[in-house]
Amino acid sequence: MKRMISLWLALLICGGLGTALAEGGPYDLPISMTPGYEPNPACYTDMGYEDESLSVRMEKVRLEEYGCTVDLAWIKVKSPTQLRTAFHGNAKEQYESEPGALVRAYQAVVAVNGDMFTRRHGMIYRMGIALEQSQSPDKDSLFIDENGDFHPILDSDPAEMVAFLKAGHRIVNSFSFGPVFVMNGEARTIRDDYWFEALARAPRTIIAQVDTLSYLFVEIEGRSQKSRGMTMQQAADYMATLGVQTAYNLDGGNSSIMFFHRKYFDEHYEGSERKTSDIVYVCSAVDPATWKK
Amino acid sequence: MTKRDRLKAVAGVLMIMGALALTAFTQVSVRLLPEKRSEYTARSEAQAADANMAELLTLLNGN
Repeated sequence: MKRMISLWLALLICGGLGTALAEGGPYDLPISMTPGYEPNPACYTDMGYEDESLSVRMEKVRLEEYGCTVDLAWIKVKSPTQLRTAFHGNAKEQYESEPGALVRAYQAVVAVNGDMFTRRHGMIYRMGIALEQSQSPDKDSLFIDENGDFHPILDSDPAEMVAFLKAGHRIVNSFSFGPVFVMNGEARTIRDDYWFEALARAPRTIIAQVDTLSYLFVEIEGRSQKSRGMTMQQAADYMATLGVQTAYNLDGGNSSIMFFHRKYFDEHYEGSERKTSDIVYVCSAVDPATWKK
Repeated sequence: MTKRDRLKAVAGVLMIMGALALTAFTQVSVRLLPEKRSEYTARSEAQAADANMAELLTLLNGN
């Protein structure tokens, strides 16, 4: 009996310790509108970034069957707090401007455009801050929780959102665009009348979760002679081939953009950025004081 | 005609009227109620969504 009690106590202590570390790990950044740490220039290569806290592998793929060029950023972080969002403005007032300015101000290693929430309704959170709390049954939502896990909410069903909160989760970031392209590793059937240009061959920006603390940012280039873009169903089918668990569509069309190492990773050129409200990005969590000595 | 005969006649008329009413109700049920039911379902779902939304906002923001 004493052994059982000792074992139970040991498990309890280990569990508590594990939780404590997860909540205040060495690479955790504040859940607020603060930027990431300055990335170490020595950790960049032409197609990647690697430091103690962050691994990024960039890839540019030509898909002849779709007539498309696709930009991919394979990302692994040590802390869920390194997957971040930023927007122009503050909690009370937001505006649209160049996404590149956010990339530079927030020290992003890789970034893509967000959901352009200034033009949307729904449950919209950024770094734990509620910017809008309304219903949007015409769109799927995506919640990202305190562990950096993706929770797709089909049709933005409030009951699903309640279940998410009752399971003890917290909304760190949430988006209102969609649709959900991949759920539980399977491509979804996208309805033709999904609220925004489902059938058009258009540029698409997609964020996906591959595994715990492992993500994929994707930009499907389009509306050019080199790349036609994809319909939503084509994008969903393609995303499922990449082995992701969840994939969610963000704002597309001219808003689609991807940055790596402060520069465009896609076909954008200086002055061609569409003004948008927000970005999704990853950053280093290594204090520059450790490598600037 | 005795009082008993008159009661029988009234009962007969009532039975016929009841049968007619039942038939009419069945027809209305078959032809009209599905539409009403879907309307009702939609309204119920909307109310449930509103209730869930209210609960959601309470969970997020407190009372």
